[in-house]
Amino acid sequence: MTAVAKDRKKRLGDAPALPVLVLSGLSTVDQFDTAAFGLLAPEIVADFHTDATTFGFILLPQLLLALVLPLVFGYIADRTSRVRLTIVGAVLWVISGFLSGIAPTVVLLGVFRLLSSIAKGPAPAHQSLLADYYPTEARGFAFALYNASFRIGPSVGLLAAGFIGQYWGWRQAFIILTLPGVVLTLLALRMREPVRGLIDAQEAGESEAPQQSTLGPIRAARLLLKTPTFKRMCWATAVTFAAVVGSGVALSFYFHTVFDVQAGMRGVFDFIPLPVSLVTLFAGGAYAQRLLSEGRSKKVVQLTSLMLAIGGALFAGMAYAPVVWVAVLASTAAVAVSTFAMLPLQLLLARLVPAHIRSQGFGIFGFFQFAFTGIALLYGLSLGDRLGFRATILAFVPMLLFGAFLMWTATFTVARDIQRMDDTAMAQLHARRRQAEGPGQAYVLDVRGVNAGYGNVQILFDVDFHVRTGEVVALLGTNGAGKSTLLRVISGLLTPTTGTILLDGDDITGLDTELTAQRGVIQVPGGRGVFPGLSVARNLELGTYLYWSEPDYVEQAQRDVLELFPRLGERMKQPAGTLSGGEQQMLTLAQSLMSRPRILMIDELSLGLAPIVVQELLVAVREIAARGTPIVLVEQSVNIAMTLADRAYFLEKGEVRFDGATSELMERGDLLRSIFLEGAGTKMGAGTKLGAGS
Amino acid sequence: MRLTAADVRNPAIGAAAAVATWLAAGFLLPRGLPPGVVLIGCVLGLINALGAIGLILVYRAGKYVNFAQAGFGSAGAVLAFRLISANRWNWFLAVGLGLVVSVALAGVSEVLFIQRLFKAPRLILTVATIGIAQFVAFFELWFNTLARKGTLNNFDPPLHLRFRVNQALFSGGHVLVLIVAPAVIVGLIIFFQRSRYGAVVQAAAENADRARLLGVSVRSISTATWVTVGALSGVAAILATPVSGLNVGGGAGAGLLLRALAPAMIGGLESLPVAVVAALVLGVVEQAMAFNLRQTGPIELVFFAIILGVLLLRRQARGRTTEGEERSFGVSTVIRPFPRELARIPSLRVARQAARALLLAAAIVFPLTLELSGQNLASAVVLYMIAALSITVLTGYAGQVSFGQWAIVGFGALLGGGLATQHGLPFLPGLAIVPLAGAALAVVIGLPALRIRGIFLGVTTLAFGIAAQAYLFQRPLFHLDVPVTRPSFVNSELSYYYFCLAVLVVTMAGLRNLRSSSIGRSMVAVRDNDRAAASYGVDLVRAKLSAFAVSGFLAALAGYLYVYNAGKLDSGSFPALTSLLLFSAVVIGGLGSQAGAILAAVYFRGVSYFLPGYAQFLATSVGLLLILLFLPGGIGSLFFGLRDAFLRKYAAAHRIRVPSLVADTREDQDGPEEAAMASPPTEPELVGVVSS
Repeated sequence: MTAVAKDRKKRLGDAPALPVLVLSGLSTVDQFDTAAFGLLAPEIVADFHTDATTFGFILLPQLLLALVLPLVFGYIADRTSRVRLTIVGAVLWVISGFLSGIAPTVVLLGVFRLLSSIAKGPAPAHQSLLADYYPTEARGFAFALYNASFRIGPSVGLLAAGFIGQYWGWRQAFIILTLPGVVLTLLALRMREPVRGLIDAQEAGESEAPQQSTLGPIRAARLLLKTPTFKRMCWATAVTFAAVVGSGVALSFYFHTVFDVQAGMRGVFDFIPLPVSLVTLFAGGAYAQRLLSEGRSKKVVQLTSLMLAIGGALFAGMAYAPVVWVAVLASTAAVAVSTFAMLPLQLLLARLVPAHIRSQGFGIFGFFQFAFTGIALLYGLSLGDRLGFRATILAFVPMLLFGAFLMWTATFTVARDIQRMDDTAMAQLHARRRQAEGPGQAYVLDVRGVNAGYGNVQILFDVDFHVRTGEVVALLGTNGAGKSTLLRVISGLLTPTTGTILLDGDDITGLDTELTAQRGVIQVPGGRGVFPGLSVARNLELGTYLYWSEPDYVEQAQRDVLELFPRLGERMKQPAGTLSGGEQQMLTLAQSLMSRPRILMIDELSLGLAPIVVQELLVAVREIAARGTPIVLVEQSVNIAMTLADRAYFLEKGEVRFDGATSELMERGDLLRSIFLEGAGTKMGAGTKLGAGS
Repeated sequence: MRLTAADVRNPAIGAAAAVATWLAAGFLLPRGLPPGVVLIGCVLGLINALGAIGLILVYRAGKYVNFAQAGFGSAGAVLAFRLISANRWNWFLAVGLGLVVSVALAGVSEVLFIQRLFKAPRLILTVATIGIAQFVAFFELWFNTLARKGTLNNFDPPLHLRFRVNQALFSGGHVLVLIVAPAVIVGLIIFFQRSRYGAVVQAAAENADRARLLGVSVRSISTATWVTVGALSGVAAILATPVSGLNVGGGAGAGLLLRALAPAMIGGLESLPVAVVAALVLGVVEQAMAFNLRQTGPIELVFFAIILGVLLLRRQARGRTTEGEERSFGVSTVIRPFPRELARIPSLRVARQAARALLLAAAIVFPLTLELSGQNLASAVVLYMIAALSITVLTGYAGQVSFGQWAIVGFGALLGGGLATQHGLPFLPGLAIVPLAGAALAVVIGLPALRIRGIFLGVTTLAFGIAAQAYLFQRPLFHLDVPVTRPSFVNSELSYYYFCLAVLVVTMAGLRNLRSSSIGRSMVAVRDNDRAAASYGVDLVRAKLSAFAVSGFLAALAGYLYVYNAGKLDSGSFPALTSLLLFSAVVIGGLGSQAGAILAAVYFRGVSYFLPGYAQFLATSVGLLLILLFLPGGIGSLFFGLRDAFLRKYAAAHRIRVPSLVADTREDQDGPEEAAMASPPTEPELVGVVSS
């Protein structure tokens, strides 16, 4: 006992052991009733005088639930206390187990089984909790312990259910098996909800976790699947799991039809891999944890992919086995090898997914795990009927190899994606420090180390860019310098390959444009900003699209902009396409103002417009700035930038070449000359024009 | 007095014109135009109007034509009416379920496939809808098998009416159409034209990026549009079934598609009211023709003429407003030529030639392993390759879309067969004459391409294909009474295969030369930017028409050889929608390279001839969609990507500078010190934070 305790102490460090034990225990007993239900099915069917088909219908909804529940509970878990969710799940599980034991009819039994499936839903919360309880160096062990429960649970459950069922009956089995659940629930009450992301923050040398607003399920999925490594891991898992499940079913038939192994012996064969796989599970966890804490994430991916490939090769060995013992050996080895790959995957996942959507990350991963298993099952069985089960097992080999290949493709992206996670966390911490320093110091918009491009062509190189509260910042540069691309990245129209974008300290990198707009990142595109087929009135109405549920605001906003641009009021019925260029630009500006900008980014206000029109627009922009809305002004014209901006950035070939007060920029004749050939010879030329303009 | 567009839109003038036309038609037509016929025409026109509205909605939201549309409704209707007639379900329950299935199929297709191709070129999206149509057709056929044997075919809605107007018999089904369809149409038009949510949809269509910047979720709008269209299609199919019978496979039928496309095109794929009126008029015209001529063939010809006329007129009227969207219907991936710097290296040159020789050797040896029927199919695969190459020239090189290419193959086949059996044209002279005729035909079809671009040209050529099958191929000249006989030197299946293979090799060599000739380069220039090409003095007319001529020549050549391969063919061998599949196949293989066309033919035909049934289905529908999702440049792009990766490594290892291979990556011209000097360190306070 003391040795085990010491060992645990060594492995978990200072972190408390209770959470991992409770969570592992809960997921162990979670397997009990499923095992009992499967094992005692004949007794139950006989008791209710029903048939196997009806019984199958009881199982069907459970399979469907298994696919959807991780997503739903992942979403819930990211919003509420995960400990409470776990406890509620455990209580529900106990109740449904008890009710199953006393179910009067088969239909009610089905309902209670369904209830029990739902009770097992909070699993994604468990993994997210573990990631928040344990630091990276202890995570491997914690995850291993937790995952071991999935291996041990069914076996223990089968033994217990068989034993109890044999001596007392199936109803008693269900009821007695709930008892460990009661104990664990009581223990779970002692768990405390950890702060999301605190451990990661502490590892980065900080004392507080970054604050971050959460996302809806579809948005979170879209955001996560934009991370190449996450996406590849999900697909690799989907393919691999389908192959494993499909061939797993075929395996039993394979032993039966090819080697004529009877039921009892098949049970033994099923059991042999268990102890071996437990060893490899812990070994894989420990190894991956060491690699990850050394920052060798690429190696972890390579290892996982290699293990999957070896698993595939072993499957082939299994299919070609001349005698039964070779097949058993090969299948044991295959299980052991693929189990080895399991924890590295989960640890990587915990590292890749930001804390605020981690449960959903695990939920989405869970969805992919089971996404194709149903099809693979049917495919495996139908193929087995047609071609025999030796061929069926062989047919799954390429699938496994393909999964290994998909996994391997993540080697190119994994280091970058993890780096990005860390950079974001770091950037958020800095943002918090600045906020603490005082309101004037905080950045509304903070762009850090952004690299972005289209296809293979990179446009932005390590761009850093920030805007303080109430500031007007000019973003200058020639055609093709990457100004508009930067705006597109900030708005979410383009996802950066690396780098972080924070809005008021909140990470908005890679968010869909609709969402960044909702948070107040409003862009005024240069040219083509209106909807030409719609009337001016409709165009203005669309400016308030996000606030249609507040009719008062809509009205107010419309009155405000018409005051600012009275000329639009005269043209309300006209299609926007028939307006002059200046009026269209006004309309665009008006639309943008109406969507409650937290920060306004104006792209090429002066493009293609007569100077007098530009002056008129500038008056409006100045008024907006006076109201305190920070503005990013993208310009080719230095004059305009000078009249409005406090600070300026200079982009050249996608890199920031200058950043500082606008007055300093005037002294950098070298930059101005190299970039603006026109009128750059006389440094003061720009200045005089500026005087004339204002 | 001159009539303007505004006058035509005025309902009073429109109604007066309609009545006047009706009276005139009554006098002029041999059997007149009784009200009953007009009413039947209106009923069918209303159903077609629903289809046209669906096409327009999707086009407005995404600028592509949804070829899968009718399939959603058909699947739902087949399910509903099988449940009613075979399983005696309640009418409302079954129809409700049918509608739910239509909507679900549309929604799922959109989420699975269209969402993921959101930013793809519109051409790819259009091809994706062809794949979805196949995918949905599978469900339709599956639902159809749900029926028990010997069931009734009674699809009447619970609206038991039966009356006559003149000779025309009307039932509850007709009345249901007259009640439901106008309600749906008016409701949709009001929603999209008047409500502010309609404005959101239009805004998203006009300027998607701007709409997103204002917080509109353009993706959700696309999903909502498809769901609406699924429902619309379901309603149309369910309304149509009591009137014109259960039409299994109707979703994939050309006739249905054309009847929805024609009014939609008249509405410019934009105006719902115009499309509805057009659908009504065309419905009446069709009934009037059927009543007076007692045959349906020419109606397809009329539709073709109408679509052509509308498009030619429209382009003049609308000028440059829609040009952008038609241009975006472009070919996305360009395959790099083998780099010149590496082509001279002996080992690589030998490797390339060895690879070619190996492929040719495989093509020569492979049929020896097959039985007679297999050898015959192998020839067909080779001919399919030639047909696919004809699209490579037209679309891959010159950027002209043709959804009617299979009709030209059919033209070559049936003309060749007809000439041989009726007029004794020998094999070898025909090998020159028929392809030349095909080239001439293609040039005629290509004439509109001088005015029409992109998807509109595609629709025109599709309409041609449908008209050709329904009308042209029914002419006596295209009829084979007896099978054609091959001359003695290609009498055996094997020798004919080698003959076809030789033609293929000659074709490929010819195309290689064409591509590098001045006319070939001018085609590519027209594809990439026709205005810039014109400003450099490229003769657009010559470039486009020669592309049509070459592709017509090849397609007819493939057809001519095909008829000698099959022996006997008829118009049924050339369904118009096969053109769509042929086109998709080439996109899947990889547009713009010969290898792509070859791969396409191997994939599509090879798979369907040499694999068992269920695998065929997987290959052509699900396979097509998966390839589009994961390899948007086609199978060819995978091959060429690997080749380029290898060449890049080779060049790096041998220190050969190959600009065409490394153009994608940025070369740092200024050294690190210089870069550091140019950008002074910023934000000293932050530097301190990072290091702490």
